[in-house]
Amino acid sequence: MIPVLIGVVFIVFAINRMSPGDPVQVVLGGTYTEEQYVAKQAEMGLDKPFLVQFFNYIKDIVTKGDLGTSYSNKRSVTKQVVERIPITFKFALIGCLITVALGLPFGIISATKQYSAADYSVTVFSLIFASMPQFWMGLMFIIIFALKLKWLPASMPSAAQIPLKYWILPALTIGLSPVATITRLTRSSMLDVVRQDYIRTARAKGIPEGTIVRKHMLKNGLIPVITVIGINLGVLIAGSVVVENIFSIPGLGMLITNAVARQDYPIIQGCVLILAAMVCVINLLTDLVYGFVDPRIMAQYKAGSKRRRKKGKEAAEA
Amino acid sequence: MKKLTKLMALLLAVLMLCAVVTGCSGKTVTEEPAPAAKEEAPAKEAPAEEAPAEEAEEGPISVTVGTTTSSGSFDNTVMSSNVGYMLVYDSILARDTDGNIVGNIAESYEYTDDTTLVLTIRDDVYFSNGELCTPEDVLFSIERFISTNSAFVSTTFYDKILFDECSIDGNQLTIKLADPCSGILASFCNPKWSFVLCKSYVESTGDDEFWDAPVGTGPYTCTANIADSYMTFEKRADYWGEEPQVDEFTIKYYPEETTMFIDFENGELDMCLGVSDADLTRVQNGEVDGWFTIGSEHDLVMICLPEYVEAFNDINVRKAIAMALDSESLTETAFGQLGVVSTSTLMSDSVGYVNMGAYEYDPDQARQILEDAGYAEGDLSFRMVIVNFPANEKLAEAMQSQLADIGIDLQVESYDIGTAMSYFMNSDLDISIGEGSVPCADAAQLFAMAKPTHTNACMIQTNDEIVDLLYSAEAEMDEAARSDLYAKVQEWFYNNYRWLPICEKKSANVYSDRISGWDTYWTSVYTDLKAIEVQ
Repeated sequence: MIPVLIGVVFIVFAINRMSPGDPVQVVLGGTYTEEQYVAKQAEMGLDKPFLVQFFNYIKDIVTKGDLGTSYSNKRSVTKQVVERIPITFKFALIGCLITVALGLPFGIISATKQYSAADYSVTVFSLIFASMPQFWMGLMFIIIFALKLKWLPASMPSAAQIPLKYWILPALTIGLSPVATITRLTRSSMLDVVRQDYIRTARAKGIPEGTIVRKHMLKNGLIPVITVIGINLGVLIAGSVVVENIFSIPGLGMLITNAVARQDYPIIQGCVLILAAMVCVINLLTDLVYGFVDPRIMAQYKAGSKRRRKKGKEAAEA
Repeated sequence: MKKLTKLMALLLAVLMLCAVVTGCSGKTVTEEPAPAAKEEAPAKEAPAEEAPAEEAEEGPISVTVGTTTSSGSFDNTVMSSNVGYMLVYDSILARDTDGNIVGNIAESYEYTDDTTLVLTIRDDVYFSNGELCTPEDVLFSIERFISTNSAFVSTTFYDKILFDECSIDGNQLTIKLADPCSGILASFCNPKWSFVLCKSYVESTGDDEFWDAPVGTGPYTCTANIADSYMTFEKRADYWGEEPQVDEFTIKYYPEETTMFIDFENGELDMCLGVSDADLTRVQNGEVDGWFTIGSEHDLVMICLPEYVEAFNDINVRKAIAMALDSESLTETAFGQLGVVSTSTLMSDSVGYVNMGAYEYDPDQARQILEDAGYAEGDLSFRMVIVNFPANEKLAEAMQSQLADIGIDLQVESYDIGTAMSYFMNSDLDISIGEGSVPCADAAQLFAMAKPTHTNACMIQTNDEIVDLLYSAEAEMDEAARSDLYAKVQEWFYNNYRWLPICEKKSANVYSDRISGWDTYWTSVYTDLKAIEVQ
């Protein structure tokens, strides 16, 4: 994970400095002398060579946990990012739960009632939402549910605690699009499993169909689905910029969008680093979940762990 | 079964195509503006009749304001704006509703000679942390402003202050200037440039405290400042000035105008600052309950033809461009009813404004001028860089079309503000859209951009005549003589076609019927919410 994070930061560092625009000019505005420019550049640390800047940045993170200071509002980047992580994570999690809550049952229905009206209906429903651009979907939801029907609010409230009803529309907006992917993947995984001999045996033994679907088909077909759910959660955390803007959600997406427009390098780097770390953690959790779903994988983990402990012991004894 | 499958597939394909096409449409439907005349700042439509006294609100009076300006730091040296500035801070001087300079923290001012300004600081002003506001705090605030961010030095004229020679005697602060400077009083009225900060507090705290807990002399304290979300303010009991009516303000930030207006329609907001032309029209037409004001932004949009572009050294080319651009249609296209055709390189409500008249739109004459000067169609090609605001893009597109009519090719490149600025500052473009923002309504601030010391090469002028006029006007203390000099400046620009004024920008606010008035000198910079009146 560490090499991944360092690599991500390095790439973002390089892209920032290679892209057009000068953050010193943005900070100074339109009126400054050459001396003022040089002084401000030195103050912002941008007068040093690229590798020196990068090394200093990594050193500050490792030794002080300091992600730097924003060029535009002079606040600590760490503080700004930490303020927004819970909002973004909650938003992405609720969206992901909606995706799973709809995608899995739809996939099961599609697989068990293949080529039926239910199968087609579920497919059509999920593909409709997959085809809609998120910004359009979000605006339509606002117009229908907030403006016309007045069932739900259009934006976040000005309060520290945000009740659940404020999350419904934004979470639906980001959660409905990936439903089609989960549906189709669940469907194809389960169709692979349904043709296996042990399913026929289970039916021959007289086990109820629901039990067969739940305990045998779904569990065995879940591995690729869990992978995609994990990837989807990572994408939702990192990529909900448009939806955050529509619903005025003060999350990481909005922070990074504003920072890119203002050429605020510390915020861009800090946000990308944190997002990369969160995605890595989600991938790790996804790997762990495999073990709970498939006992064979858990056994492999345990065997691998035993082998590593044995090697370590032998090395210590030697 | 096969037929059913084909039918379902066809239906799916049609639905997906509809969704994609609809989702990808970029056209914004704008209604025709209402035939009502454009309001002059700060005019307003009559609000609903005031409720009788017995219906007055019980409990604290709260107002929720929507804005598309993100909440920035309360540190005024940071290059961002904050709608809540004037709730927390007071400026050294202020403007009354007619725009005249009046006392504020400094209850009076007097020039004892051309380079000596004496401010008498009130002795009954306390910061929100209980400390008394003194002349030391005033001087500290000015000095800090330009030492922390040098960007404002020349625009504010604070660089003319000889801080070592300034002195304090009781409640009097004597400011010594290196040269006579008429514009500095206007700087002391600017809500951002002249906030009075508590010296002891600023010296003992860090930048995060500025964000979370600013200390000022204003009538409110900031109780919460959540970035890109909202700010809340509570009225102080010990404010030195006129007690505002509203007890609590909540200012909500919306990155999307549409969402803000929907919240207004749903009654979540009492007022919206800076609504779009389309939303304003809906209020004007009565589709949405409420009333509105259209006020000047003190922002002049003009086309700049820089000196460093060789083709523009030929006055015929500049004149032809001026005659090829139809200000009226450009204003209507880009700004709708939120723009007024400009008739000078100065705002119409600024001191010294002279109505020079818009350039005559005559593309045939423009074509003839170019032909007589030896330019054939296609000989002239220019590159224009703009900031990717919707109004700029519409304006640039319309300009492309109008210049193409006379055989000039205009390539337009649109970037975010940071990237565009690097093109402006590095002179890496031929034509730019200049915005002469004059937050103090003072000519000196606007024309500071024309001085050779300004760093935006798109706007600076090096011609001896205009440079001499600019410096003379800046130093002239007599109001009548100053107006004369700025009249000559405007005449020079008009005759030399370097800055082609297009329009003066306006800004529209909408209010629910709960808001009964807002009697203040308002511009987008002077968002003085404390003057709000509630039924």
